[in-house]
Amino acid sequence: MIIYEYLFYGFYRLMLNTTYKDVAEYTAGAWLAIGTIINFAGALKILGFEPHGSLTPKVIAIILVVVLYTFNYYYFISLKKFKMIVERYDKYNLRNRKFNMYITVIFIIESISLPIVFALLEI
Amino acid sequence: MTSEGRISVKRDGGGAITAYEYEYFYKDHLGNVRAVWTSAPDPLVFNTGMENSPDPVFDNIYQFTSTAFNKTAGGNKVLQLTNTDNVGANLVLTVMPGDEIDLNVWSTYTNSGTDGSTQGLVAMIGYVAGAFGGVQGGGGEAGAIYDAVSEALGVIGLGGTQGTTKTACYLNYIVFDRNLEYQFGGFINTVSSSASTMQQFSLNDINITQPGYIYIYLSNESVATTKLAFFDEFNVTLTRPVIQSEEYYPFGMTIAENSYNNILEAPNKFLYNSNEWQDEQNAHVYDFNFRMYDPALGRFLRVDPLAEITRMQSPFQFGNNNPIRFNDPFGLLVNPGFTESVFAIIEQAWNDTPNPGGGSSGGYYTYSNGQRTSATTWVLNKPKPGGQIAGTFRSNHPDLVNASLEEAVSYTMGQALNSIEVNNSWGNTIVDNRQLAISALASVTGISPGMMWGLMLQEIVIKDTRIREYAGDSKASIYYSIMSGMVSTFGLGVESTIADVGRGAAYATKSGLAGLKVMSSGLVGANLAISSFQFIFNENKNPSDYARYITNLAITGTAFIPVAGPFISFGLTLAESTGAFEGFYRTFNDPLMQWIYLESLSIGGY
Repeated sequence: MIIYEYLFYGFYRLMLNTTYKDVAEYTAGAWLAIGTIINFAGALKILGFEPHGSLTPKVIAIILVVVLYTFNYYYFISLKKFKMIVERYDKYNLRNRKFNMYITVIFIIESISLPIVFALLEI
Repeated sequence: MTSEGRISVKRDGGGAITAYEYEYFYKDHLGNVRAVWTSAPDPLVFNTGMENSPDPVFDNIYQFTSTAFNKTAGGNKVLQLTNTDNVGANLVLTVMPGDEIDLNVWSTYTNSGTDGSTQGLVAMIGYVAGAFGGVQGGGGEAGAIYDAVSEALGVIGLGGTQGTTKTACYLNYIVFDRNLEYQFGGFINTVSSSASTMQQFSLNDINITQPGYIYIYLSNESVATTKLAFFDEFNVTLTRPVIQSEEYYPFGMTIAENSYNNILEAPNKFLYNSNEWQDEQNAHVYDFNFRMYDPALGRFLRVDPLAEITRMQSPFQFGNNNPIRFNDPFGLLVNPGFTESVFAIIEQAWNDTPNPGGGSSGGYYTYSNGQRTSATTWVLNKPKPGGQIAGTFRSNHPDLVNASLEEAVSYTMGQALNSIEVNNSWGNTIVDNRQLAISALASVTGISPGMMWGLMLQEIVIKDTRIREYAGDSKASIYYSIMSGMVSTFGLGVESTIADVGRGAAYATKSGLAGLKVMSSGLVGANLAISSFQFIFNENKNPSDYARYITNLAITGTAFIPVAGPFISFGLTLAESTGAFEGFYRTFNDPLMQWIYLESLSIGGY
C-alpha cells in the first residue's frame, strides 16, 4: 500500500504542474488507477488468464475501472487522506522527491508502452 | 443484355421478328447468376393422336380403329385400354422447379355388362410399374421404378369403381424427385357423360417444386373384360419459365448435376461473377474483362494488373482465396460483395429518411413490410439535419428481441442476401427489407452507425482511388481522395468536440469547470484503460488495433493541453467511444491504405 501511496504522491505532484492543478487529487487518483489497471492486465496476460464467456476484456476493464476509481475516491479523497500523504512525502528532501518523480514518470511510460511491447513480443 | 437480364428475339420460320422476350437474371450476393427466368416461356407440347404404334414419345399405344371415336385430323386410330392392357400412353418427363404441366385428353367408354369391380392396389401397381419398365423384385432401375410406383400409389390410392355400367378410366400423374422419392401425384376420372361419346378432360397447373420426374399415364382399372376405355388426342404441355439454372462450386465450376438449361432457348453464358463463360474450342475459362479466369484451378491465367496494390496475395489468386465472401468481377481488385451491398443499403436508407423535425432529436419514419407506416416494427432515426454519422439505427423485431448475437447476425445476413436476390430478380419493394436488415445489423451487433459510415466512406474512397490509379490519374488526386475521406471521418469527432466545448464555455461555472475536468480525466482514463485491456487480450492484432490504441494514447495526451485540454480530450473520447474513428482505424487494414500512409510519410521526397 505504501508503494500505491508513493505513486499517488508522484501523480499528485505531476498534476499540480498541469491544467488539472485545481483538481489534482481527483485526477491523480484516476490516472493512478489507469496505470494500475494496465499493469494488472499485463500480469493477467503473463499468468495465462483467458477471458471467456461474458467476461470479456472490456467487461473486466470496466469492472476494474469502477472498483479502482471508487477505492481511490474513498481511500484518498473522501477522508482527506491524500493531505496526510502529501504532507508526509513533502517532508522528504529534494533528492527523494526527484526520485519519486522519476519513478512516477517511468511508471507512466511503462504503463502506456506495455501493450505495444506485449504486441511486438507476441505475448 | 444488362446486368439484370436480357432481351431475346423470337422469329418465325421465315426469320422475321415476331416478338421480344424479356429474360431476368436471378443472382446471389456475389453477382453469380443462379437462374434465368423468362417472361414468355415457350410451351413444350407432347402430343399423340394414337396413330402410330410404337409412338416416338409415348409408350404402350394399344391401337383400336374407330372413326367414330377418332379426334385426330386425317386419322382413324384411338387408344383402347382393357382389363389386361390397362395402362397406356404413358410418358416420363424430366422436370425442373418452376415447371408447370397441363394434361389434356379425349376419352369415352363402352357401356356393356354390370360388373363394376376394379383391380386391387397390388395388381394395379404391377400394371403401372410394368408400363414404365418396373419389375417387382427386379434389380437396378427396374426394381427402383417398381418400388417408387408402389410407394406413390400407396399414398395416392386408386380411382376405384365408377359404377356397374361405366368403365373406371383415369388420367394420372406421379411426381418423383431425382432419387425417385415420391413427391405428389393425382388423377381425374375420364368417364364421359354418356357412353361411346368422346369428351375432353383436362388436368392443369401441375407445379413442380423440385428437380425430378413426372410419370403420366392413362389407365383402366375395371376388371370386367367388357369394360373398355378409349382415348385420343393426348396432349402434355410443359411450360418452363426457368430457362436456365446454375449451381456453382465455390471457385466457379458449375455443378452439372444441379444445373440445366432449356434446350429451346439460347443459353445465357454470363454466369459466375456475371462474367462470360468461354467454351469455344474447349477453352473453358471465364472472361473477367481484364483477365481470363479458370474456375477449375480457381486462379486467373495471368497476373493481376493491379498486383502491386494487393502485394500480400498471389497475383493469380481469385477473391482472396475466399470466393464465398469476395468476388472480383473485373479481374482487377477483390470486392467484398456483401459489404458493398450493405453500404449501399445504409446509404440509401439514410438518403430516404427525411428529417422533418430538424432538431437534434429530429423526426423519423417507421418501416413495415417495405412501406412507411406508423408501426414500430423497424425504426430508422436521423437526428441531425445534414449530419453524416450522428444517428441511430435500432430494431425491436420480434425475432431478434431475445436473439443471441450469432442468431441476429445470421438472421440479418439471411435477410440481406435474400432481399438482394429477390431485388435483382424483380426489382420491387423488397428493397426495404434490406434497410430492415441493416437496421438489425447496426443495432443488434452493436456496430455503431458511425462505424458503419466510416466503413462506407472507406469503401468509397478506396474504390475511387483504385479506379483513378488504374486510369493513370496523378498521385495528387489519389492523395486528395484519401485525405478528403479522412477529413470527413475525423471531422465528426471535431464536430462533437466543438459542440462540447461551446456548451461548457457558455454554461459552466467555476466549480462546474472543475467537475468537468474531473469527469473528463475519468472518462479519458477509463477509455484508455479499456482500450489497453482489449489490445492486450486481442489474440489477432490487426493494424487497425494498433491504430486504435495509439489514437487513444494521443487523445489522452490532448488532455494535458493547457486550459482547453480536458474538454478537447473529453470530446475526442466521446467521439472515439461511439465509433466515429472506426472507419479511420480500418483503413490501416487495407494494403492500399497502408501503402498510402507509408508513402505520405516520405511525401517530401517527391
